[in-house]
Amino acid sequence: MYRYLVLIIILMSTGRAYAELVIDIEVGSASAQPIAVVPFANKDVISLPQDVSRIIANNLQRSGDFETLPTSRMLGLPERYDQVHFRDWMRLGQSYIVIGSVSLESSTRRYVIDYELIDIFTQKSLISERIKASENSLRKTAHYISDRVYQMITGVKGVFSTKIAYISVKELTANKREYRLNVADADGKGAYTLFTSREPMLSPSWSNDGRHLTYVSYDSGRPAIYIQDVISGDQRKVTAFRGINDSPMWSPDDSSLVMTLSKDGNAELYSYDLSSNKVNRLTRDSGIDTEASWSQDGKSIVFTSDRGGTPQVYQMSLSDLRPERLSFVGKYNTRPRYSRDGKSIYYVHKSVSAGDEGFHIAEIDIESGEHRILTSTSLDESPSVAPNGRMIIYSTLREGKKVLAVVSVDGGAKYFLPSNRGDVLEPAWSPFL
Amino acid sequence: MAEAQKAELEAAKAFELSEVERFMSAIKRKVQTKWRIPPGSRGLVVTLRIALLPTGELSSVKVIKSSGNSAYDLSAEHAANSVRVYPVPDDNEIFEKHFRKFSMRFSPVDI
Repeated sequence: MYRYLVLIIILMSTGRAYAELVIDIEVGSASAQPIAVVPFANKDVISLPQDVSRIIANNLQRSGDFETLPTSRMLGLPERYDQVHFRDWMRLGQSYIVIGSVSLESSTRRYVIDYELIDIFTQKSLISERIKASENSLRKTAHYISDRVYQMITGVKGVFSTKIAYISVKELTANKREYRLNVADADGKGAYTLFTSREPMLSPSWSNDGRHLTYVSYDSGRPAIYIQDVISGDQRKVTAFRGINDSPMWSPDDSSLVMTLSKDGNAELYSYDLSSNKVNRLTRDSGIDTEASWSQDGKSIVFTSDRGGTPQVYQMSLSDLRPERLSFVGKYNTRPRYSRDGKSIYYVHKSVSAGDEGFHIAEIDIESGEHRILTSTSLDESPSVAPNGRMIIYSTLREGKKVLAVVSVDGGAKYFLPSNRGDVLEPAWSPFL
Repeated sequence: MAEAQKAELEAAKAFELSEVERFMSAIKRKVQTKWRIPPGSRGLVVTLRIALLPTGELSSVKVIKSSGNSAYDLSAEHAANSVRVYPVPDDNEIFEKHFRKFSMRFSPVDI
């Protein structure tokens, strides 16, 4: 979009006779930042259990905020600053370069990783660091370096060291299934199982201190809400009221859960105080109210309700408990989640476009009501926002299987997370850990 | 005579102004395609001093007024540095007067 230029004249104090031009730049391009992650030199010709520089490159590429240079296009593989030919990298259109090496400290059997982030234009070294890691912490170290690089350049904290929780379902025999609650690194690797059951599990949600998950399990034959410690595995049953016990989600201070219960009739929202075990009813309506999620400031919730005839997204202040409808496009808008800045809501939207019968993750701006579809996949469910607010993980159908997918909030980057555990669904992105 | 001189001067001035506007807008468009605005930059402003050679090649980029956010400053520096050759007027006098040194102020609108 072209904006008419305003000529701004600033009189210089340097005594020059004429005024100096100031050009205002107000619009940028949304494209990703070019960066070259050079394969780290392997100093001791050791076989490395993890390819640290490749993990870093993959992380940056997947974030959507970076475009990494393929190794095959690199004209040299420097490992130290004095080996960097800046002209070459500039010619390749690169803005930044990450170089480094891995060696083995023989006395401790630990890996020593030296790496450097260099600005190609100014030739400044932005980060230069040495990290020692055990074999088991090499992946973690690669995520840490990715976070450092990401934050230095974008000014936003990286999420490469965070976790995701999700449910996997495996068909054992014709009518026997195995459900698992899993926790994995944000890139889908290093998964472990927290709880296994022959009965369905649903809607895991992280406590804001990152230490617990709450979820719904039918393990006892009927729905109940549990809390489980992600490190020790300690599990406790929180509620098992008659009827529905569903969609638990932590309050920002972790003192209570908001949940859906039908103990008083039909599905309504309640808050559950975890220290007093008291439940407090939040909605009163003959329609179904469910899938609530807390705002960051704890003052309001968004939820799904069919009180108007079709499932739509509502927001309610917890001080006056008066729901206000937010979604108006289409007949199906569910599972709302606040953006990190609280200004918009992400939710599942059934398309109203001709020829598109799909369900997509969409965003609505609370203030303006403006609505926008983020995903091009078509049977999308359960969005969960990354703690830096830049990405959304959700589940979708791909080649007949339920898989996890990630989309950046500006709709740019998209990728799928690999899984070998059958169908995977109901992802929840952890807070910063 | 004086009238003719005055008219000539006016015409030269008008030409200068139109050239300045033309090249300002060309520079602006070129830098905008190179600027990758970091997320969460709302309200930040950074001012750079740009020095060019008469060929339009970049001679130097300096932050003269920081936004206080290093990633944001870096993004602007990168945009300025990414333009290899700046569009500049052929008229040497106009170049020297306006484009040898100038400032660029980066402030995102509505992102």
